[in-house]
Amino acid sequence: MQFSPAVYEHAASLIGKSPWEASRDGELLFQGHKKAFELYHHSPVVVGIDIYNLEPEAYGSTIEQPKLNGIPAITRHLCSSMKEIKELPLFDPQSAGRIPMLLEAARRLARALPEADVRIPVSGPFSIASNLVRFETLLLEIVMDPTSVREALDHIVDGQVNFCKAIVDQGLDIAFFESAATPPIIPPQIFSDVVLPPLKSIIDQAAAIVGHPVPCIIGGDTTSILEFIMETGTGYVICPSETDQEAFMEQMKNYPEVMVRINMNPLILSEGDLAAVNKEVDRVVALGREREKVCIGTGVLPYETTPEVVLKTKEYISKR
Amino acid sequence: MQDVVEKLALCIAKGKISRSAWFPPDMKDQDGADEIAAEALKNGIDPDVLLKGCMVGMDRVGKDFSEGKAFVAHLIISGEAMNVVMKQIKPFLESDQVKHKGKLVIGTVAGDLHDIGKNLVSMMIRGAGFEVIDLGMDVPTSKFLEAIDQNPGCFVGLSALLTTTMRNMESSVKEIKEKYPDTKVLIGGAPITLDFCTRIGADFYSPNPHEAVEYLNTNV
Repeated sequence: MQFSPAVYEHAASLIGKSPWEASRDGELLFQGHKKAFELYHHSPVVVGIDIYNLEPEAYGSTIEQPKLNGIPAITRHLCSSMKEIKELPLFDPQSAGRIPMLLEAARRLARALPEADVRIPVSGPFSIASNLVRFETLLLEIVMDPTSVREALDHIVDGQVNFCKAIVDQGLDIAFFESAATPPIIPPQIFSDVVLPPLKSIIDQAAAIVGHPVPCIIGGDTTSILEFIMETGTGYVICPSETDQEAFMEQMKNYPEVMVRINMNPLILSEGDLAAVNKEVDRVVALGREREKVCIGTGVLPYETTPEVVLKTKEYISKR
Repeated sequence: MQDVVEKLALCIAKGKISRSAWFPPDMKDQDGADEIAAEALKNGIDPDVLLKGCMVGMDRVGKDFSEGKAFVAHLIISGEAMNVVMKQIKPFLESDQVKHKGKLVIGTVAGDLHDIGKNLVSMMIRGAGFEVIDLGMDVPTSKFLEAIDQNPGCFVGLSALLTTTMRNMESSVKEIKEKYPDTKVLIGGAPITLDFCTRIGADFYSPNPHEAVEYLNTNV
């Protein structure tokens, strides 16, 4: 079974830099992800550190530098309501925020590592909205005024179409991320009624732009929304460690053509107890045993995870 | 009076903020928490009764959340309904006519810039009748210590969303316990586990805000 660790802030630690430093410097971003691929040969290589901040920053949000090795986050939100989001001018992927730096780092990686599947992380509309307004505001409005939220998400979709075109123009590929929309944050019915239509729209359009189905990565307790996720037409999903993984994999038997990455519990990796890691690998391998299109993932590798543990994990998986 | 408690509790548990709010659809055109609280105060009902209605309503939605029957969005909307009541009884709270059950100092640990979990817990605990002193995000240990010093007998809540910042949580808990061994420290956040809580010497962990409220009610 292929090993696909999710490397973001861990790429920064591999070159001895903080997530903040690596996230804001194209050269460090390139070096960190290059080093990670040289060590792990994982697939796909999703370029970025604080991937959910990219589009909100491109719209004009401010990212704050955390203390120590924390992950950068948005602390002051650009908009106070979904109505304001609807009125935001769309960002220009050629010049806005860190997008040009990210595209350049990814292009360099694709050139330097021709065997790697280099992808640009693209956030789903709900996740972007959750960083443009306070999360509490979004959740309140999605219940009280779902029509307005839907209109704002549709507006964000228009911006993401431009972003996807810019990615493909650079000869790069796409992976979608929409983890803010996961239960228990919102109920499955609201996911279906409000979040899914714009998500499906952008994933359909992205697939048309890139010429094949794109991954739709949603972490959290997703078994109850899995059928909706599959309605997006994605070709790649994750089976998160936070959900009922057996039930998830049972449902996925209806979609044999879709690649499933079954995630290990990332905390077990960060704690570094190899016996516990091997036990976790055995559990995950058993879950995917009857499936052809399956790989084993980690969830987001914590910054402090030691490369030795990841390499030992990879070695153990290769022997299974 | 019991009628007011029950009416308010229903509005808060279901997220019926005011008459003009269309949500929840099955309570359309009915008075919400705002009108019921205003009417009760106008009729001379003790503000404590309104506080009790908030507590019962938030307890119901919190229990539903811990059982997987409600979602974070429901907690937020119930919190909004509670806030319109709290706004009306604020003058009574400030004049000590209505007493808080106790105090909780809360913050997200150093290096962590995420606050939704902390905000949810704060809202539930406020709804349970406690005063909440929110130190915000990325809070250094010294700020927690200062707040404990200024609020003797308070509980302390620390939140971390990232595995990276769990280490900072560990050092904050150790320093707090060294200086204030009797202070009860609660911890929470996505990567936190009961094992971790025990290992770092915190007093309580729960995966949902409802159990934190129960812990405070038992230990106050």
